Amino acid sequence: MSLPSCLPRLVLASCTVVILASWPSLIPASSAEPAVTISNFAFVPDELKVAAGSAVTFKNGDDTVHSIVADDGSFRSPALDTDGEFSHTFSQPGTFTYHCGLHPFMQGRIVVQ
Amino acid sequence: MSNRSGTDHRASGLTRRHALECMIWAGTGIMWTMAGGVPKPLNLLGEAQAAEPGPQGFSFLQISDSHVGFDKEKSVTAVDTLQEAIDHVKALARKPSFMIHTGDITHLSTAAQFDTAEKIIGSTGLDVHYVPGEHDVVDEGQGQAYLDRYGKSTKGAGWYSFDKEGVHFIGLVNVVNLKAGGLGFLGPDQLAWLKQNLSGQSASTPIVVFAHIPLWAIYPEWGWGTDDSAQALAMLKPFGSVTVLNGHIHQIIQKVEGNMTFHTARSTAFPQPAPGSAKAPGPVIVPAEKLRGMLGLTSVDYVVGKSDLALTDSTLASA
Repeated sequence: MSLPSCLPRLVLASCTVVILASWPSLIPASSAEPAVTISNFAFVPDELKVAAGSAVTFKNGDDTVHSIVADDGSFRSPALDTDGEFSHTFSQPGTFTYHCGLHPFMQGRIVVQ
Repeated sequence: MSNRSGTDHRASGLTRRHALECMIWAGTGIMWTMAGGVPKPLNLLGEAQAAEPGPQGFSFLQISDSHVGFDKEKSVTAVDTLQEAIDHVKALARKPSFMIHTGDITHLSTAAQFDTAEKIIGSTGLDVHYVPGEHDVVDEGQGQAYLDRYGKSTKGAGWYSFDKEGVHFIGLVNVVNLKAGGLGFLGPDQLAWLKQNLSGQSASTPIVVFAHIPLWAIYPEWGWGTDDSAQALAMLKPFGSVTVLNGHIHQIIQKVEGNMTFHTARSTAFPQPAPGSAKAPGPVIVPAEKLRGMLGLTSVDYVVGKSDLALTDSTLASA
């Protein structure tokens, strides 16, 4: 997206702050148990940064079934019905992309630092 | 896409010898009447029952998305509405020759859910030709539970064909090995099998293809399409009469393109929103009194010598 060049620098700066604050992936995970929630057929947040060795919990908040499948096949949850949870420990640094096994247009990534 | 109803507009100029009438109920199923390869929807079960298949021919019923195990609407569960749908089937004055089930028999692929579905659907005494939905392959074996029950005489993940009085039926599986970011997926093995399977058919043979996820792009943003269906449809293009029956989206949407007619059936369990009309394609939870008007079945009649094809959709409420 390109912004109009005439936009005052101050407005531009404050917009940037708002965008940063509302962008979950840019906020370091601070809770003890990093978590991804499934809501309205989307992973929230769709990108989560965690420290190596962290266990990430995925929780299904939808009224239908979802699952968590690593794109590279390295992990796969069972089918998660409403409120179902799945945990996976990410031992090694790297970026791990995953999708829903039933609805593969749902995608997310875990960035392990 | 276009919704069509009433007498088929393409049929009059056709010289096809065969006619298929499909009856599809919505929610319990849909009734289709197909003639000459073109489906014609009839909107009430009463009309569907009135549609005579002619002296030669047969009818079959499409049932879809039973989701046995789904119970978010506590007062009327998916088991209850499946039972109601099957009760309607058993009460039909004119018995269909067989049924097809276009997937999502169960909600979670458990043995208990498959057992319940089998008990209810089997009570019709009709042969049922199944294809799996994505909810039927979420067992630990990723589809093995389905294949153990319904995979006899099938290839790969469960695809197969059969013939009935000159009509060639093909059941395809597009719910396994789904790719990240993708839609439904047939895969190269199944496409190779399809090519071989069709090579033995004459162009005048009416073809009915059924699969769970739509084989045409209804709304890819919600996964309502199949990544490699264009290859399958290209193979089907030379045939004079092709009818594609799908489920998955829990609502009736139709399209006619050349000699191909596409139709999706209602669910027997719960409705889903119209494409793009909600934030996500999740179940629409509605009160029991409204629910039956959004569920249904489909029935299809094949009539030899008729040049048009008719389709009937009706709901549990109207039935």
